[in-house]
Amino acid sequence: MEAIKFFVDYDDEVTLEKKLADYIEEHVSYDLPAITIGHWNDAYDTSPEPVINYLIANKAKFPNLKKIFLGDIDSDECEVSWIIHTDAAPLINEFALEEIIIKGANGLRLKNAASNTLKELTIISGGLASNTLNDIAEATIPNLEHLELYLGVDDYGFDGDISTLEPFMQRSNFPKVTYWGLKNSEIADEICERVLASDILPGLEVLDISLGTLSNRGAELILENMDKLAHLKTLDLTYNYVSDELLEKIIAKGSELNIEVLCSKEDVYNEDDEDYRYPYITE
Amino acid sequence: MNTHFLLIGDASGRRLNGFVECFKKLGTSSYQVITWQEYFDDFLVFSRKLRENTIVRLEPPEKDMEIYRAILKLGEVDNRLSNAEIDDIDFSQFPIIAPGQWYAGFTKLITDIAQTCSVHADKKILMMQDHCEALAMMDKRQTYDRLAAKAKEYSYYLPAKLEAPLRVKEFREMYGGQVLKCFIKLRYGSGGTGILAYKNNPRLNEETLWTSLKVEIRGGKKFFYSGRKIAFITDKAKIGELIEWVLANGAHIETWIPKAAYQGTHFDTRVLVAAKTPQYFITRLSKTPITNLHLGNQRRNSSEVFTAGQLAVLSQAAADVMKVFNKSLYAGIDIVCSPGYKPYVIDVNPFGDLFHNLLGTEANVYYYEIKAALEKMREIQ
Repeated sequence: MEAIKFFVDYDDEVTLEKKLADYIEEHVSYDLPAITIGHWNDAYDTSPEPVINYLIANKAKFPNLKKIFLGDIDSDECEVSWIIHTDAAPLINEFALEEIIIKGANGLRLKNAASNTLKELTIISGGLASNTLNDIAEATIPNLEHLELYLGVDDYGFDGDISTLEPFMQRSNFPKVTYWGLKNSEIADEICERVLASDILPGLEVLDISLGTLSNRGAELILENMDKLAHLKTLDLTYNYVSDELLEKIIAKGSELNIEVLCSKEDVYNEDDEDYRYPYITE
Repeated sequence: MNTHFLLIGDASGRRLNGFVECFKKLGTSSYQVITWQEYFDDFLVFSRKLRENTIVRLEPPEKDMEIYRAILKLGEVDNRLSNAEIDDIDFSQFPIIAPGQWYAGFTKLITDIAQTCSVHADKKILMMQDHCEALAMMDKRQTYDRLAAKAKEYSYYLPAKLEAPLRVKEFREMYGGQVLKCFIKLRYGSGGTGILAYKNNPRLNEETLWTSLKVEIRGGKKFFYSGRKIAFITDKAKIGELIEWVLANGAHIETWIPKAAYQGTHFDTRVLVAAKTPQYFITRLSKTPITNLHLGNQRRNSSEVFTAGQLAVLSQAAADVMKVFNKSLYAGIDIVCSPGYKPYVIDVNPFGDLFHNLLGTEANVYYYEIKAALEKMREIQ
């Protein structure tokens, strides 16, 4: 979807909400279907609440909005784990969005989020807190098809465990989800074990356990249970700590079952040292 | 009137040999070479070889550690290393020793050469580098202050300068309570040497560094040297040790300008300006905050990375920097573009014209420099 990115450049003295207001003043309305909100002033210290408030207060000026990317901020501007957020549920509740992507998760909430139009929800973070995960689990988003959560590590805000993720294993909570990604996690093996036994698995097209610390333990479980995955189009294990031998077996079995297996280890930094295994995005 | 070139440089260095190769290709210019080794054996060799109508070019001493030792001995600073201590330095791992004293020594060295040239002014001698400006460029504090004094008149931007204390304890007292991203640079370091890309977020109790600076203990003494790889350091004690050394040896601290990205990778651009005109651009892509090419980063043609409009902005910024250093025939200017493509100058290098990929090719920037020097010489004649 075509979008304009609004952001505050280094040394800019104008706020992001002022940039939005200037755009509206010039163009009367924002007619594109998507909008990208990039770096706002002092994102390490200040939430985008004024931006969210501006969008809500002027929602009639954004008549076609179906997609919002909130926090498209480069690591050089502000590290993902440093970005401060607030309750972003009003964006979901007030606009008829089909897709929302949020980057950064400090202080992020989605309290009482409710939307019949939302099909895709992605949260990119170095650490997703339990209260945010609970908000998502309790949200009323019955038509969600794409759920993609970067869980991260405890140092940067993931304060849950496998039990915190239980609601995401239940089909009744996400009846239409076909893309399921609980990814970028330091408990990828446990997630793997649990999802293989879950009732959400049968309806999926894409199982995404990428970018985390998946090891031989989780990979062996996948190999043993490949028949349960036969309905998948794609199994995404990109960035992992699995041995090449085991990956080859999974690829071969995937090929027999017509499953695309993604498992590149290109970006893995320190593969051999078991004490220093990190998900792809942390800081 | 015949013009001669007199080059001083490192016998085995690629700079000197690359330049000589250009003369051979041109086939016309008359040139002589003095190696730093020869110069230190007999300072008078320089005045003996100065003929009428000579253009003098200095190349920096490269990795010859005996030359480094000789320059250190020339340096007069407080708490200087004695000649006996200098003789005892184990240079086997190329440690960075007393950069302030080295700079003082190098200042004396090239000031002496410039003075010899002025004594022989009647012979019509042109130095390709203005030695005062070259020395200012080799000191990051002076470079910054000169550029800052003129920043309002010109189109380049500068990062904010932060006060540099002398000890890490003070540094942490001053900055530890705030979110900070900055570059702590060795004032007299060249290229990526002694640069620390520092981040601190007290809310997350996170303090990190990217750097190629390494420390090793040999015979009970700490040696600091540049590694070939950029390391990411999270250990606070190690971070403190590296910052302490850079501060003690003279630091220049600047805020960290977020870089624009090309295909997801950050970059900066080295612009070679010769005779007031930007002649050559090389964009350096890096997965870490330190982009110097000798640290294994990738290069790209700038025309791939920038639109024509963006390149024009970059070009103007580089040309404006050379208006501040207006006596210099050439310099390599490192520019970071912010995500909104505002050009921030992060370094000016008087010897920043070594582009390994151009050596032996017709695009070699040395040809521009030779041409520009010959034109300037004609003005004197």
